[in-house]
Amino acid sequence: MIPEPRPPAPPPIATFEHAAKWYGQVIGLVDATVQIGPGVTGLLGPNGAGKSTFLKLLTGQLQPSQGTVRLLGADPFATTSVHARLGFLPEQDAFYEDMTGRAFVRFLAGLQGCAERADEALQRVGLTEAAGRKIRTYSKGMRQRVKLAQAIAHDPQVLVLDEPLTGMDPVARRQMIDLMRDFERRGATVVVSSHILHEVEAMTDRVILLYQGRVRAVGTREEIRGLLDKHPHQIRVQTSRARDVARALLDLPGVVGVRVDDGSVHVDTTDPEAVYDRLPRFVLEEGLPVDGLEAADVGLDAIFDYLVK
Amino acid sequence: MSSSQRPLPRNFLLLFGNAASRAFLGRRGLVLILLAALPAVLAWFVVHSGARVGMDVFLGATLMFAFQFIVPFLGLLVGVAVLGDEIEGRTVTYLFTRPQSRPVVFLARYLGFATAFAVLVFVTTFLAAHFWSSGVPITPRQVAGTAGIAALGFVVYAAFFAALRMYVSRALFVGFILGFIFEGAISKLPGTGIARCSVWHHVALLEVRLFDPTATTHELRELLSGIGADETAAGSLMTLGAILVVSLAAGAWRVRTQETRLANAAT
Repeated sequence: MIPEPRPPAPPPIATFEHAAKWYGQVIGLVDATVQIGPGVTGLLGPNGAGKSTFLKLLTGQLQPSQGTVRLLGADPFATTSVHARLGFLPEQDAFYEDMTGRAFVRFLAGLQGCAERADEALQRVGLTEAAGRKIRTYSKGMRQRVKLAQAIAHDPQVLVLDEPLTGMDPVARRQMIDLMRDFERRGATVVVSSHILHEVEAMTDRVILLYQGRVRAVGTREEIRGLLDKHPHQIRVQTSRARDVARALLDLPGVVGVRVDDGSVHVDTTDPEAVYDRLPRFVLEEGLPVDGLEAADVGLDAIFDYLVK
Repeated sequence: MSSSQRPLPRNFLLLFGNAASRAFLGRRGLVLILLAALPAVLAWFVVHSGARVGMDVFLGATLMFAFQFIVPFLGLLVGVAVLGDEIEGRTVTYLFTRPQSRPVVFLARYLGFATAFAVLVFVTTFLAAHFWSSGVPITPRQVAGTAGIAALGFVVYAAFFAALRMYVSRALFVGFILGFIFEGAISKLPGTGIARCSVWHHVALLEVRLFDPTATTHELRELLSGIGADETAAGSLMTLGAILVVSLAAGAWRVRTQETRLANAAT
């Protein structure tokens, strides 16, 4: 029996080909070559990594200094017609403050030819009751919601969200993530940036890692984690008997190094879960005092340092 | 796209309406209204103070105060705000990620602002000329004409400064130098013809021709020694129109080809 041929991969929605962007002496993005297909793609990197530059190139607000950027097959800077299929939530907290939320969304949805869908968009982001209030009276979370409403009102094929969860409470975050998933289910492309790893993890499996203006890794969450797990994790143990604790910690599996430093012990381990699991029991059995325990390298800067070493 | 209207005229009208309806909002709007009202306030006070008011006072107030100071100053403040407001407020991002070209945003916002403030300038100058008319023999046609010339001067200055903002980030400062020091200087250079490069020269010429086609009064000759006998109102209208069109074309070209950077934008 002849196997059925695999369906061809869907064409990418957006492509970066050796795209670079610099602002005078400041580098925004260097030699980025990536393809973005349908579904949710997370753009992850610490502040200043080049995420906003990447998204501004993608949405045609900037043109690359070198290389090419294509969105839906066209240059998004020169071909403004592609913006009819684009929804963009900018990072900056910028509004016509004297407008009501409804007037703001109606105006911007009107530019997409669907002013009548403004109320529906406000309802989808849970802002119906406050829609008649002036934006200047909105909380940070409400301002994020109204930005989202203007981005989704015309049901775009490509939704680009720059740090969308900033200032949102847990319920609103959940709603935002559900909304992204809804767009994904309907075949849309969502590109979402964040500098917080677990935020991106909650939103998508597909990640583009940016650091110092360079694309450091592209792949699924598992693939990225695989890259990270090659490096030992650092855990700091605060104790008044540092030397005794350090000696005992060396016996734990996965521990590859221990350093004593002024009332604390720094542990390098390839198996951090083992340390977290066994340390309390080990402390009770040995009677060693432990005042605190914390991961010393969970920050994205540390993670990216590993990736670039 | 659910609207049956074609995107370009629809978006142009929306942007025009947005700019025009928001033109007078905020503290800046209040300052601009007060500034535009100054010539009318001045005229009312002078006429009601019992002072002798002649044609020299009227022309001095109109040409030297309203046309050479208030109108360009309003043009500068409004012109730099055409896209500058959106850039400094960082709301331009919303407009530049919509399906209309960037020049459409620039032109629609210019027209919105220019229309709103041209009406204001017309009304306040009309009132000023009307107040003067109680002491000076001015016909209703001259009252309306003076107001129209002020409004025309304003829209030309606003177009010039709107375009300047697209090329220069410190447009308010540079515009002040150009609009007052440079224009003021060249408009006073007799005999070289260079005065014809200033907007004020043509605005003043239109006013002169409106009042005295032969330019015979002593006051006019004193004030406007740079105006040549061969210069016509039609020529000045064409020159002002050319400055307007070239300014808008230059501004639109710049905004189409040059990306707009936001202040304090993250990388």
